[in-house]
This record gives sequence, structure tokens and C-alpha cells, in this order.
Amino acid sequence: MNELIFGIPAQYIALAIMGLVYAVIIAEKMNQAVIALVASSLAILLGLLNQEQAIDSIDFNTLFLLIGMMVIVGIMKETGIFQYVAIVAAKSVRASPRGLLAVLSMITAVFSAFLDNVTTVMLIVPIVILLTEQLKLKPFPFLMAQVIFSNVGGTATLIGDPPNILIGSAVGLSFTDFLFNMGPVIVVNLFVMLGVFDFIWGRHLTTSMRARAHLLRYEPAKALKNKALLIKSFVVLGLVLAGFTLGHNFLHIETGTTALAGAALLMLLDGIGHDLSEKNKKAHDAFHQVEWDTIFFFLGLFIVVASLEHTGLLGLAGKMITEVTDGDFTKTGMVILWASTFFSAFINNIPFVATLIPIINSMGDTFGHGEALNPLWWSLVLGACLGGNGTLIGASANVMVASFADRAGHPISFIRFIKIGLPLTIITIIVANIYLLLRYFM
Amino acid sequence: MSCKEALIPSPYKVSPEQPVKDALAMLDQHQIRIAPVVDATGELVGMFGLNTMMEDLLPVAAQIEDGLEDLDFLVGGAPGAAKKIRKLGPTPVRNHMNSELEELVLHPDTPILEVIRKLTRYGSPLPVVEENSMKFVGLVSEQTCLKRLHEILADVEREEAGQ
Repeated sequence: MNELIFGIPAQYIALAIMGLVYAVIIAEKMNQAVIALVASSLAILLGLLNQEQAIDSIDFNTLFLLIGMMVIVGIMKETGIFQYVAIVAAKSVRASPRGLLAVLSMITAVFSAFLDNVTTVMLIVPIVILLTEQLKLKPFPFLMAQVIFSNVGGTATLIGDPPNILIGSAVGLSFTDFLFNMGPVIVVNLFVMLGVFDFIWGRHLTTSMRARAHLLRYEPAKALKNKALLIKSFVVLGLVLAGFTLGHNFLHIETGTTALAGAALLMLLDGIGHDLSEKNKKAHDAFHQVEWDTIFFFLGLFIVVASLEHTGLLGLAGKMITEVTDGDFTKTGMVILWASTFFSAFINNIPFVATLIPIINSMGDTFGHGEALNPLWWSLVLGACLGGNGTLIGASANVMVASFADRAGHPISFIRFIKIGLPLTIITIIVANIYLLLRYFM
Repeated sequence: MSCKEALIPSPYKVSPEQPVKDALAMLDQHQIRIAPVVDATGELVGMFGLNTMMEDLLPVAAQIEDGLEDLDFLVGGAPGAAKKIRKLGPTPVRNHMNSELEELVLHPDTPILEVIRKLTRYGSPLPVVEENSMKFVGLVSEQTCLKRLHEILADVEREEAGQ
């Protein structure tokens, strides 16, 4: 690579391009995927890296995993299973508002662990709005719970939140690694959050017996739309989860391959019994479920981060952090946890995590490579995912819930969100901090 | 042939501040399903009809964009919807009309085939406003459109018979 481009050191140009991406994302003036593509094109055209290097820098495992899961969830949501589960849960607590707040929160946490957070809240929030309207309850605590529990639940697994997919794929951490390492602290955090929500709101919620009786007449089975497709979806989802765990650990099948194969199988099964034109329509609809702007956002970011990495800047940043922490492993972990919490609360955590991955990798020279670095990765996962709860713009799921709240006539302002979101984030991060210290740094 | 030849020039109208209850009574009295909402300055501000009002009877979760697409499971919702009618009665028409007019409106000089395309896509009747403002001119319906086409057909047949 050229040291100077138009007389300017390549490092400055790479930094300016990355700065441009961050600035545009913060200013919210342009589509994120477009700016990532513009920036990656600039990086190649200015010679920071050539096309071959750019292609090599794209983590196709992450893209395959995202695309595969988007297709599977896109087909699955047509079955009505999410509404079914939410209504069954509401009836299981006899439509008591206090119980409803708890069960709807936990459902979102569990779904978010296995599906994308935005998809989860998109499917559950309309039901939440319906149930609160029916019980004549203010939806605010229920909607805040959707945000908090979806971000906390999503932290637990490899596929729960995009930062985890990025980190897992880049570092080689498996689905079971995530489950065993992040599962315990997330379960604790979920129960802590349940307690907090119950203390602040749950125990004060009341409704009339008449409204509860009305809700108890709902027939959840009628929410299920396509039982054959539901069975096919569960079979495929089961196979995909087996692929993520057994397939990855024993047969070394990469998660991206598993997710794409699962998507292909589900599309194949979905087409059975239909004529070619209907098969084509179904396949077209399934591919339409892929959020291509997200995929191209990732693709562009990989190239921009690689251009920074090629200049040696990220390695330098890694050295600077270890100097600040005096080469102390525990201090470094804590800095990563709290810094990533802060950044993720205010900016999109995906570019932040994408930048941090090579920085942490470069710390291998100080702390040892491979598994020795794992505690730092877990610090990054917890900070980046839980930090998303800090502000209204901290995670895509927050923005999605706020948009639903607005449409339903119960807007959530930035300040109102932060008053609840920030303290709750600090609580979850304190729990995470204690867990990290006890399990990895002592 | 253009839109102005198939116009109902002075249809029944409602005002945006009129209570829903009165507007519904007017629709019922004249046995029509939809009426233009025209303000004091003569500008079209929306369309009010049984359809737009019915939507307000749904739970909010089913009214919003990306909301519930299916309420099969919601058994026993009739008393709730009935109570909503009572609640909506005194509220102004403005709160329950369709105010997204951009795609719906026609102009006096809109060609008849474009009128037919919009009628088939957005339903009948459709409002007609002046070219560069929202000044209300009248309504066009499937009936008035077909009636005018029949008249044209009769003219054509007469001409052909004459030759």
C-alpha cells in the first residue's frame, strides 16, 4: 500500500473516511448502508486497499448468517406463532397486569435470544399495544420492558444481536461458547430487571375484572395461520440450532453455512405442493425478507475497517489502550466494558464493534492470543449489547418500539427514555462487571 | 373526454368540525357511503365515509402501520366496538376522515382513462379539485363515468348509422 496518497499520509485518509461514516451515522442525514458503501468505495478508489484485499476483508460468514436467519424468521412470522405465544402467556397469568408485564418481558427476552431484536419487537409490540388497550393500562412500562428485555435477551446467544454475530465470526466463538459464557449473566440480569420493573410499575398496575374476563375469552389457537408451515419452520429451526451447536462443535460446519442451508431447506419445504408460479412467488417473498440495506451496511463497514487496519492505525490504538491500562488485563477488560457501554448508548454499536475487533486482536501481543483474549471479547459483548439500552437511539429495537409507540398515540421522548433506560443500563452493567470480575479476571 | 364531463357538481358535503354522529346521519339519510370533507374556504380537506369510520372501531394495534393483520383470535370484541361508536359520536369529522388525498384527487382536465384507472384502484366516488389548489369542484363516480361513456357510444353509433 502507498504510504502517501496525494501527499497525505494514508493513515489520515483512512481515519477521515471512518470519521465520515461515524459523523453521518450520528447526524442521521443519510442512509447507513449508502454511507458505508460510499466510504468503502472511496477506500478502494483512493488506493487504501485494492479490490482483492477489500473482498478478502468481507466476513461472508457473518453475512450468510444474517441473510439465512432473516429468511427463516421472515417465513416463520407468517405462521402467527409469535401472537399465539403472547396470547397464551397473557391467559396463563389470568390477564393480571402485573403478571402480564412479567410474561411479555420474558417472551421478548427469549425470542430476542434466538431471533433478531428488531424482528422480535416488531412482532410482539402490536400484541402488547392490543393487550394494554384491552386492559385499559398505560402502555409505557410495557413498551420500555420490550426494549430493555429485547436488548438484554439478545446478548445471550451468538445470533441474538448483530455485534455478537460479528464478534463470534471474527474470533471463532461458537453458539455454545456464547450460551455458556453469556447465558448465566443474562439470566441474572433478566431476573434483576424483572424485579426492577415489578418494583417501579408491576405492583401498582390494576385493571377491572371485566377487562380481564374479556381478554380471557381470546382464542390463541386462531392466531395460528398455517400449521403445516409452522411444523416445517420448527423442524428447520431445530436443525439450524443443532447445526450451530453440534454441527459447529463436532463437524466444524460454520454458522453462516448452517443458516443459509436452513433458509434454503425452509424455502424448499414451503414450496412443496404448489405449482411453479406459486413456488416462484413464495421464493420471491422469502428473499424479500432480507434487509439488504443491513447486509450492505455490514459489507461496507468490513471494507472501511480493513482499510484502517491496513494502515496499522488500529494496532496503534490497541497499544495506546494497553498503555493507558498499564498492560493490566483486568483494567483493560473494564475499560472495554464501560467504554463500549457508553459508545453503544449513543451511536450504532455495529461500526463500534467492527472497529474494536481488530484493536482487541492486536492486544494479543500483550495478553496472549486465542482463548487468552476471551475475557476481553465477553467484556465487549456485554458492553456493546447492554449499552444499547442507554438511550432511545442506542439500538435499532429501541427506535422500532418508539416508532410503534408514536403511531399508537403514546410517544416516548428521548428524555423520558433516558430517565429509565440509563439507570437500568448502569444496573445491568454493574451486574455484568461483577460477573466478569468473578468469572474471568480473578 | 375528460373528468369534468362526468362530474357530480354539487354533491352532499360534510364540514371538518361537524360531529361524526351528524355526518353519519347525513350519509344514512341520503343513502351514500362517502362524502367529501370541505372547509369554510371551499377547500377539500379529506374524505369521510363508513369505511374511514369503521377503521376507528378497530383496536389501535390493528389500525397502525405494521400492526396486527389478523384479529381472528379476538373473540367477544363486539360490545367494545359498539361502545366506541358511542364515544366517536360527538368527536369532529376531522379526526376520522382520510386526509391522504394526494393519490385520490382528480382535476377537471384529467383524461377519462386516468379517471377510470383511479376509480378501479381507489374506489368510487373520487374528489375533483382545481388544477393548482385543493378548491373542491365535485365528485366523479363509476356511475357518472359509465353514463357519460354510454352517451358517447350512442353518438358513435348514430354517426356510424349515418355513414
